[in-house]
Amino acid sequence: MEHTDTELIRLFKEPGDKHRAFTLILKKYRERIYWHIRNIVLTHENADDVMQNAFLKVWNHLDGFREDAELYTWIYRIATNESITFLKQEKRNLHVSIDEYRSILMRSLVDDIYFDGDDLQQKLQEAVLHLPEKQRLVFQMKYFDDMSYEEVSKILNTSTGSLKASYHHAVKKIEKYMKGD
Amino acid sequence: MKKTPDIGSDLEKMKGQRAFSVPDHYFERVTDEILHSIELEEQPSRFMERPKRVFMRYIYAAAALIGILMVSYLGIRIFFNEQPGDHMSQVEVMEYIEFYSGDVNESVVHENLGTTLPVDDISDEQKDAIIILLLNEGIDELTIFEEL
Repeated sequence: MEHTDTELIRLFKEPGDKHRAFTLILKKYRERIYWHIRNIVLTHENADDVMQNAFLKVWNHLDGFREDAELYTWIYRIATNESITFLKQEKRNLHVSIDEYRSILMRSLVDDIYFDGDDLQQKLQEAVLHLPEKQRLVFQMKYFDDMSYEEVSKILNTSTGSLKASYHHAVKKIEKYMKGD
Repeated sequence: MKKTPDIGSDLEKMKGQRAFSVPDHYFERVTDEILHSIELEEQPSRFMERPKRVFMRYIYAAAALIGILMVSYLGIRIFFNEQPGDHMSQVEVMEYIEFYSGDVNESVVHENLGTTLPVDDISDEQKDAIIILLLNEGIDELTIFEEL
């Protein structure tokens, strides 16, 4: 039986059960968090790095986790921040413009042996990459992760009204991009 | 699958299709890797002591070699009746090596040798001796420098 988040946090804070609790947290969230990260950073290699960093942060900071937020929201927030930071850091390290970086990311995606998408899916990823950061995140969480506005709102700490507007704009831009307008 | 309102037909058609995959048994393996990283983080002293000792042996070897080089250099200058001038002392060279021991590749060490010290005060032989001793003696420098 899967433990609730409250049980896992309590277990993590028990002396001697920390490792067991963390292993359970990892097993509970690893796939969801991986796919969330992968949708942002696109290639498996990038996602693997970010995923490991994100869970190390969870390990290092879970002791101080205040239970006024839900565990899954908190982990998603860490994973989102790590993914965004990773992309910014990589762009900075490469000393390229945002357009050049988009091209680099797209090339990496197409070359990734763990990308099985057809032309349409490639075009979709390219369109998503052209969105402003917030619209991109909202679109990815809604469309790919199939999250509710309420869940996205907790993770991004933004009102659902604003998220609905962002998602609407994102969809319109993606449709336009995919039609080649 | 929840239907998302107001998305176009292409988007609707692709929703829920996964264009990404992962290597076989990836999630089991990454779980082990993360748990292993945590174990390493929890035991810093055990994993750092040995590389540090190994690294210090190279520092001492570098000091000895630099000493020999400097004595030879001064001997040659005296033989040819030149004044020693304001060349770096061995202590300064050692301080320098310790300061830059975090640099992980040869080009960075070379670059810093050229910009942060009066490069004329340290001979090419000394530079190469430092770099060779720190980086090319079969020592796993990346591991050592990372963990120092």
